[in-house]
Amino acid sequence: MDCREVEKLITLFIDGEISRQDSHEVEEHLKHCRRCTAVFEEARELKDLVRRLPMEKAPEDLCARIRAQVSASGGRELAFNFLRLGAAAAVFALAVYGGFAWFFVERAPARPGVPAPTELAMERSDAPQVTAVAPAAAPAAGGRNLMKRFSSPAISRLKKKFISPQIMENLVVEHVRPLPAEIQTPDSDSIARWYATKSGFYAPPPQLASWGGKMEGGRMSRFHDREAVQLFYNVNGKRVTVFMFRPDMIPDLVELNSAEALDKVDEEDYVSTTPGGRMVALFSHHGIGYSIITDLDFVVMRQCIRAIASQTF
Amino acid sequence: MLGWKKDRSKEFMTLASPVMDALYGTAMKLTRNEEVARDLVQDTYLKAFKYFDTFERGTNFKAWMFRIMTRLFYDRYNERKRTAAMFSSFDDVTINATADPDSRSGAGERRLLAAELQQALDQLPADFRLPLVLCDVHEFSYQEIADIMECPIGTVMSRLFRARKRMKEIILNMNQTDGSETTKSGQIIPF
Repeated sequence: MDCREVEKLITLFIDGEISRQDSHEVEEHLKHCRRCTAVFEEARELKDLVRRLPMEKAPEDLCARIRAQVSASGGRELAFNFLRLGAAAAVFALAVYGGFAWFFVERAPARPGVPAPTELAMERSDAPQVTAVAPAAAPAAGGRNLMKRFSSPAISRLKKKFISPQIMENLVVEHVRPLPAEIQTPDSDSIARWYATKSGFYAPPPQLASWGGKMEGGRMSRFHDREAVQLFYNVNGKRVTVFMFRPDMIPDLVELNSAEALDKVDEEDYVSTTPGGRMVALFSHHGIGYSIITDLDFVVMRQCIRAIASQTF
Repeated sequence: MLGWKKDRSKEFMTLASPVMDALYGTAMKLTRNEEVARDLVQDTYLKAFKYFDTFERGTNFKAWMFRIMTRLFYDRYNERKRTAAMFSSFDDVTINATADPDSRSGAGERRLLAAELQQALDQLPADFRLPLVLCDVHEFSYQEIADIMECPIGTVMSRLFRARKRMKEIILNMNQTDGSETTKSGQIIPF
């Protein structure tokens, strides 16, 4: 083995990544070559120095926080499994109940002036499903109009378009059981500065003050498995969660770059409801993706969407 | 079922707790920012726990955790590089080290060399810094590093070679700037 060959192998030699045969040959060469020995000593010294570089230890509070979060996410997973079981049980119960109802009603004698059960069923299939979910939550006329448009096919269209049920579920979990806020302040400028340094988002947070919304805080979160800013608001006593994310993560997001755009785009393409009684909106505005999650309150949701769509920066 | 969930998080933390210092130390070396390192480690743990069922029992758990952290780091690094946000220091930095002249004497020299070495390491691009730390500090094999960084083993070898070469150049350059005894001999004094 000559000096050139040995020099090439020195890195592998000091890392213990060399074959026994090559190792033996390098050792033999080093016994007789002062130049290669100097190169070897220097490389070994450098490796040793890097190995002995002080490594920071994980802070105690970080360890504690991680432990708490791991056990909390275990619990949340458990809660979801119960919810899933509960939902499955409810569907099963409804199916059984529906079967019984059909059995008895279908066989009931028809009375004059009363529509037959099959006619009722046909009428209901055209009605919006959401009314059946939460009739009490339908407040103003605007809310009713919006509500009428949330038919079942629209929901499945939105989901098919860009959001999987899993993502929808995660969004709702983050709204219902959010992890603690990392910054708590009503000052939107402070929050904007905070998340700009954390994420590189330089857009201001949505201003919901003119709609009675109060900012409560925020945290860095994940959306679609990517970094996102999660903001917490209270709008007229209703909790609202807003996610800001990079819109390129989801193709075909509806663009709402002005309040006028709201009237031009079908709401069904950016607002959906979930079986758990939450509303989720997804759209982009001036290069930022937004997701708004509220409890089933059409007026609040519409106010939030309008506030963001009207925002200029 | 509750018992099973508790066992799962317990099993996870039993395996994951001992590697927390190693992950955090590496996260600090990678990000050079305490806040970002904390976030990186925290997200690594949450992600690892989420996908813990996919971890093959009996394989190298530490390497698995490092792989998750590396992937998260690169996701964010690339994202931030695109947006030219806060991680401008991740880009290649020209050699421009300045040592503290006041502390270059006696026992101070040892500390200074450690600081200089850290400074030299910081000046390496992340693609070079990471394999060096994984190899020299955590003693992962080339194959493990290749798995962690999700690249061919040849890439690991070439990056390690270039990283060490670059480190040496940076240190020598520092010493030349400083004009100390160590410069003239070209040797590296251990701290």
